[in-house]
Amino acid sequence: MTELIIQTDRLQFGFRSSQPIVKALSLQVPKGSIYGFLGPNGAGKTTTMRLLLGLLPNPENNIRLFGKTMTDSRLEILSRTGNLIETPSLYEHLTGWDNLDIARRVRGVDRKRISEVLELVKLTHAAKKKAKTYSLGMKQRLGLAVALLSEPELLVLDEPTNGLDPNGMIETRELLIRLNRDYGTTIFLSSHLLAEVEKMATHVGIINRGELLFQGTVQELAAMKANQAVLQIVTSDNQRALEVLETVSGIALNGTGLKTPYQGKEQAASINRLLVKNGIDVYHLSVADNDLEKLFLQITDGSMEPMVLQTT
Amino acid sequence: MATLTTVYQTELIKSKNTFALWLVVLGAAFVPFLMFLIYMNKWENFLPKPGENPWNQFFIANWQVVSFIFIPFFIVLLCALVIGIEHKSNSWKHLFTLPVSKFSVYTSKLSVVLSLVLFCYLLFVLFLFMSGTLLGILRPKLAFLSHTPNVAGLLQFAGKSLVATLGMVAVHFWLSIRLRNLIQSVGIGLVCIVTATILFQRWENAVYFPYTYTMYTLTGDKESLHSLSKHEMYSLAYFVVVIGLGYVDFSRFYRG
Repeated sequence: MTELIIQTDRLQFGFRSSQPIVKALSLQVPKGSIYGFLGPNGAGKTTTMRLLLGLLPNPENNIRLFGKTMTDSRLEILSRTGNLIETPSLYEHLTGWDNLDIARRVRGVDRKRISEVLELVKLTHAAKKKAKTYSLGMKQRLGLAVALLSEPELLVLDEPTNGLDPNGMIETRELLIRLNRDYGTTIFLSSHLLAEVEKMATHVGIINRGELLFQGTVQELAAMKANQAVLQIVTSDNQRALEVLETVSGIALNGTGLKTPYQGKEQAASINRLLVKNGIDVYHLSVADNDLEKLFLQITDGSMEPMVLQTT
Repeated sequence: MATLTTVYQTELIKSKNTFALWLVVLGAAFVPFLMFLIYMNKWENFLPKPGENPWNQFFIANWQVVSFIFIPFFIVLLCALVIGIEHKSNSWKHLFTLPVSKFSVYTSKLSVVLSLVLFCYLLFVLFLFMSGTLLGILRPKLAFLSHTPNVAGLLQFAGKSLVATLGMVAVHFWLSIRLRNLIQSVGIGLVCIVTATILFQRWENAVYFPYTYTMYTLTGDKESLHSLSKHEMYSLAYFVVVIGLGYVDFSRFYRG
């Protein structure tokens, strides 16, 4: 089993016990992964991230980062972690350079690292400008630069591409992939856009209303997507077709036709043969390929059974 | 892990370009400058009696003006502005995820506030000398140049006044952390300052109210110049207790 950088054991949190924001969340983020933490707005993503970083109380002490807890090793955990939570915390009356200088002194990082991270996020030209003159995207990038200062082993990023233009999104994505590939940085990032996560994540966790509905590798998510594919059939007499096909598992009437879980090309062919043999005209036979977006919606709106795959 | 000195340095960097810094300089210069204008224009009223040291009268006139509302309000505003840097930048969460203990954060912030108060007092004393010397040059009849100012006495008085502010510093340091909105802590401060001016010399229990302490220092007797007066001891006690309680609150419950 690969080493887990983030591990929570039935994490629970609520400002009032009657209204939990996070429910029995057991996150497992393997070392070296890019873990996309997906969920609609208000699902509990930011709260979870604040909990991970010790910004919210966790009396059960069931969060482990690098195998350690905040109560025992707060400073060690924090020194190995970079983060960007909600809006970047910038001192707007100071220059970009000064903002980095403050974090770098506290983190005990060499001065020349400032120009390196500025280069990484492409802000070298604006280093001497006050942060209040920055655009939203530049602020986001400066926030990212602050997070990258100490070359952390773990990056906790809350919607890192928020407020960026398409170009900025691509650049940020490439930067994160590069950090992950070249330095083995584990990245835990939240997003409400599946498409965004799909493009870079190796692992995915889907959260809704504080509950983890799916956790696994992107391959596992893709497999689940395949499982969800449906064969759609429209015939000249759907009612009789249903009788003919009663041996096919999961067959059911569906609007203008019939549907059954898709099990492969052979299945489609044999269904077709059976219908034709019984004198039923087949007008339409197709695989409705659930794309991930739809799957995500199905998982989060509760129309699909929660399915928590464990990474092993 | 960052040392306390490092964190303190970063706190100083944060005060760059802020109004807090201007407040210290302008606050220290304001009254000596006004008194300078008054002495320049109404110099006949301030001619010293034969053998009298004009510096003493000049110092007293300045302290009288600042001790009542000016210094307490300066403390209230300074605390709100220095702490307000973090509120405004939404950066408590950033501070709390840096590898530095909450104790270092709290202590270095407090040190910055105290340094700025001390710096303001030093500037004030400096401006008093500059203002008096300039008056001596421009209005020779005021006889500033033919007398030596009582430097030791002035510094002792400044020291006592500084100690008298500590109670207020502690209260407003805590309030400013807890109240995100600058208006709230300043509003509370204003109400307390007005209350203090009403209670002072009208009710002996006013000596338990930290906002009156700079006024007590001003009206204290001359013999007490070499040691701390009762209310200054109270001010120190307030400081120790409130800063301590504030730290417990900050480290245990404050989440930014």
